[in-house]
Amino acid sequence: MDIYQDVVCPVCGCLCDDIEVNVENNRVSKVKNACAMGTTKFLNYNSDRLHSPLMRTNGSQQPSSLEESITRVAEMLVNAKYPVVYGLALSSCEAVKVAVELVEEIGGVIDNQTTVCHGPSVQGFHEVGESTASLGEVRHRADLVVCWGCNPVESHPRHFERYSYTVKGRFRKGKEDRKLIVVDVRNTGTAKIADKFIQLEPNKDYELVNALRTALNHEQIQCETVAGIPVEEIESLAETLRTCEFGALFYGLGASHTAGKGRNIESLGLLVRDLNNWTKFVLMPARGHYNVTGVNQVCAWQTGFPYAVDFSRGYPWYNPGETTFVDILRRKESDASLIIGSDPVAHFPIGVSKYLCSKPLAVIDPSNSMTTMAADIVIPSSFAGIESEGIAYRMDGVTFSMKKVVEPPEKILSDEDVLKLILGKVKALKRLK
Amino acid sequence: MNPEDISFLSIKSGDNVKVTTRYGSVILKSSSSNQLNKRGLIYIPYGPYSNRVVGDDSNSSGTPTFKGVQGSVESAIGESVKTLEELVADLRGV
Repeated sequence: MDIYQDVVCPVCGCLCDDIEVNVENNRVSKVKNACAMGTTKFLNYNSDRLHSPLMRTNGSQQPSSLEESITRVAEMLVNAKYPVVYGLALSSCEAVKVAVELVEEIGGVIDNQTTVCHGPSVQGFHEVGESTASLGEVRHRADLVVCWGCNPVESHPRHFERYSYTVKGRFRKGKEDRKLIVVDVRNTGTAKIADKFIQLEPNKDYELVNALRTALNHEQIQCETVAGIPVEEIESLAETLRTCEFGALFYGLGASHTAGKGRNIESLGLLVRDLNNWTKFVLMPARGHYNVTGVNQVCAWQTGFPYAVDFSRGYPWYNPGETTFVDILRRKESDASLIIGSDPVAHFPIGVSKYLCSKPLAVIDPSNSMTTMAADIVIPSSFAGIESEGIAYRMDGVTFSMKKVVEPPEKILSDEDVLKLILGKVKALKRLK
Repeated sequence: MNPEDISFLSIKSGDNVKVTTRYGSVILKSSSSNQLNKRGLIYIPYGPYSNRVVGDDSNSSGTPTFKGVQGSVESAIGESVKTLEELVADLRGV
């Protein structure tokens, strides 16, 4: 039996790097330190697996060879006028780098899960910047943790015990030295353990953030309630935020997806900027997929933009609302899509999912999904962080080297290697044109 | 769903309901939750079922409106929840 220590968990944006994995006969037999999500992934990643490339022939998917599938995908991309490559938040940074080169070569669009996740956060940060810190800094110094529209107890289960609330830090003994405030429309698992729960009305985040800024700056709020919260409670909350020693505001899609979207995050950024007039305060999106931060970083350093990058003009062009995948599908403009480690058929609104399925669709993925079921070409890949190595970024922008603990199934390549083969074939086809 | 809302519809937790918005409708299995402690608020996990009742207009933000969508809920006892295979067949029009 092999025991691997300090394995990085490839599930959520926490990227816990203290996992111990026991491997017997190339199978994961035991997992220590991981949360329920991490343990489940390490023990069950191999179920519902794709074992062979598939190609749709006469309406049904049939097994095919890797070479033939690679050629078909390359032909699809070269022949398309406006292809989109989407996904990569569950891939290594090395795979993202190859994907960017591929999209530049085919003159298409590269987008990632940010577009249906923290895209509004990116737009908010474009406006007002980002007051941030590493999670280590939060662990050692924060005496106030605010969770706004996020639910780490259920979506980032080890966030509190490793980085923010219950953890012992250099200057904080643990939970007894910290306060947790939750702002949410639902009485979530996180809200239930909070020291204070502010239950706002749906779609009223923008109003509440700006009422807090008003109270913080000692101006009068000229109404009795905002977002269903009495003004006295808002003023009290503003005082709590102002008088902490080090505050960390984590937020989720409960803030970035409600009415106002990017403007909500811009306002949260301004709130945190205001708070830094009195104390130290940081703002951080609770990122979901383990390397969605990494795909933003790689896209940004290679193209100048973090997501929704359009190369159809011959140079990178970025305009969320225009070059974002959902909007491209809604306008029925793309004529082929390559999806990497993502399931947009399940996760996009039904109108655009229908259009996505109506055009040539290829998928690189380790497992079955609704998108692989709907695809014309499917190429299986290995699981990054379990069957292949690579770099990933934690939600605070700190990088980690993911480990390989088991061998992938025979003839299954990493998505990085599959993308390199497609890129090579695309270049060869273009030379022939 | 809020437990009182479930009683109001004369159904039990676990019975099927039909959720309708201006974007579409979907049959779902209901579940009572004390997380929904205010009446009139329901929560559907993100995925292929919720995406049948949300719109694809991002209002130039790039991100569809997945939250805060107004709709109605009614009892749908006797109607079945579609399988993923059926949903894919619907999407592909086959």
